[in-house]
Amino acid sequence: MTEQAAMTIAHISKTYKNGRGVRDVSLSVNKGEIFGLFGPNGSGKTTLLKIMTGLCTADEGAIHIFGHSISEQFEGAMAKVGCVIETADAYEYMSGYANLKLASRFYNDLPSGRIEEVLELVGLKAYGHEKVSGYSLGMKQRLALAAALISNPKLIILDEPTNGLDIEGIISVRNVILHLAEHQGMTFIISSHMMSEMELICTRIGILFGGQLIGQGEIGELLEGGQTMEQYYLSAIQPFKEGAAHV
Amino acid sequence: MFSLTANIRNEMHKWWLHRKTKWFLLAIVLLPVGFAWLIANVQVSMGISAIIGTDFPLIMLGLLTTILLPLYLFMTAADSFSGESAARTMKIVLVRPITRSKIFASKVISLIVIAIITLAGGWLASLLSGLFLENSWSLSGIWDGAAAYMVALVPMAVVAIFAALVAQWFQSSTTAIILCIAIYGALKLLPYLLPQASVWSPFAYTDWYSMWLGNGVSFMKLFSVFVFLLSCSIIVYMAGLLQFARRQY
Repeated sequence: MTEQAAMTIAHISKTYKNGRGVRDVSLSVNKGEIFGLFGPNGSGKTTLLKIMTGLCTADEGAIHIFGHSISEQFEGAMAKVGCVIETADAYEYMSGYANLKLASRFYNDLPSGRIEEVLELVGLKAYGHEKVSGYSLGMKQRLALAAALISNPKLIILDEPTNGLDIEGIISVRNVILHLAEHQGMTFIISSHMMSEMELICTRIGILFGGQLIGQGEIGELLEGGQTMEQYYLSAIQPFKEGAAHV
Repeated sequence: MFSLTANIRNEMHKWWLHRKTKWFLLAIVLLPVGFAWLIANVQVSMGISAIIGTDFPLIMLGLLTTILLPLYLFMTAADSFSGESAARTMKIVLVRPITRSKIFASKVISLIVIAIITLAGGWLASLLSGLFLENSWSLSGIWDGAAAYMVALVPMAVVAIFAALVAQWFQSSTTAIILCIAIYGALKLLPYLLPQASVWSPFAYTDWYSMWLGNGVSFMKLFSVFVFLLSCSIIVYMAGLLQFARRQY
C-alpha cells in the first residue's frame, strides 16, 4: 500500500447463495480523490461497499484503509471513515440531534458544537430537534450524510447518495461533496448507477459489471477523443456481454 | 475500552428514549404500591396480619424475578438485536470504529444495567410500600431485603444473556420474544415433570436469593450454584457472540 492510497482493495471476491456477488476486484483509491463506483443494478456495488465497511466479509482478498486491515484492525481502519450504505437509516423515535449525539460518542476528539456544525452543513439545523419519524426522505438522506461527517473523516463512502432525492436535494448533496473534497481534502468513494451524476462529481471512476471491475480511470482520460461516458460504458461492457452470450 | 463505554452509553440512551421504558419503570414502582394497599385492606378487613412490612419486598422480588423482569429482558434484548436488524439501524453502529465483540458486549452489559435499575427501583418501591402494612421494621430485615435484591441480579444476568442469544436467531423481535418465553416457560415447568432435571436448568434458580436468606444453605452450595450459573452464562454468551460476529448485513 502506497502512502498516497486512502484505500487499497486486493483480489476481493464474495459469492452469495444466488450466485451474485463480486469477483477478484482490485483497486486503489488515492487521498483527495472522488472515486465513483459505477455499474448497473445488481453489478455488485453495494456488496463491495459493504465489504469495505465490514458489514459483510469477503470470501477472499484484503482491504486496507489508511494502512489498517478492515478484517484485523477494524477500529483503526474505521476511525477516519464515515459512510452511508444502502439506505439512509436513523433511529426514528429520536431527534436528528440525538442521532448525531449517539454517532459522536465514538470519537473522543470532536470539538464542542460539531453536531450543530454538521447539521448546518447539510441544511438541517432548523429541524435538528424534530423527531426523525417526521423527516422526509431527503431530510433522512441529509441526516445520514451528517452522521457520516460527524467525525470529520478523511474518507467518506456513500452508496447511491442522491437516490430518491428531488433535483434540489441532488444539487445540495453534490455541492456538499464537492465543497468537502475541495476545501477539506476529504476522499470520497461514491457508488451510483446514474452516469451523469458520476460525470459531474467524480475525478476517477471504476466500472463494475457482473461483479467484476471491468475498467477504471480518470474521467478526463476516459472521455478522450470526444466520446461520452455512455459510449465509454457501452464499449467497456461489450466484450463481457459477448463473452456471456457465447457461454 | 473507549468504544465499549461509548456504546454502553448509547444503548442506555436509546433504552431511555423508548416510550415503553417509562411505562415499565412506572409499573415497577406502582405495582408494589397497589399490592401493598390491597394486602393492607384485606388484612384489616379480615383482622389478620399475615404479611409484615419487611417481608413485602421479598414477595415482590419473587414476582419480579419469575415473571416481570425476565419478560422485560426478553423484550429489550429482542429490540436491541432483532429489532435493530429489522429496522436496519444495526448498520449505524456496525460502521463505527467499534468491533462486533464490543458491540455485543455493550448490548449485554446494557441489559444487565437495566436489570440492576429495575431491581433497585423495585426494592425501593416495595420497601416504601411496606409502610402500608403492619409495621415490624428492623434494620436486619431491610438488609436481608437489600441483599436478596442484589443477589437476584445473578440469575437475571443469565436470563439477559440467554435472551441476547435467542435474539440472534431471528430478524423479527416478536418471534424472538415468543421463543424466549416458550423456552423459559418450558424450563420453568420442567422441575414439575422431572424434578431431578431441575438442578441443570439455569432458570430453576431465578429465586436463588431465597437460599441466601437465613442460615439454612451452606456456602459451598451457594458457591456451586453460582459457578453453575456463571458457566451457563459463559457458554450462552459465547454462542451469542459467535452468531453476532458472523452475521452478514
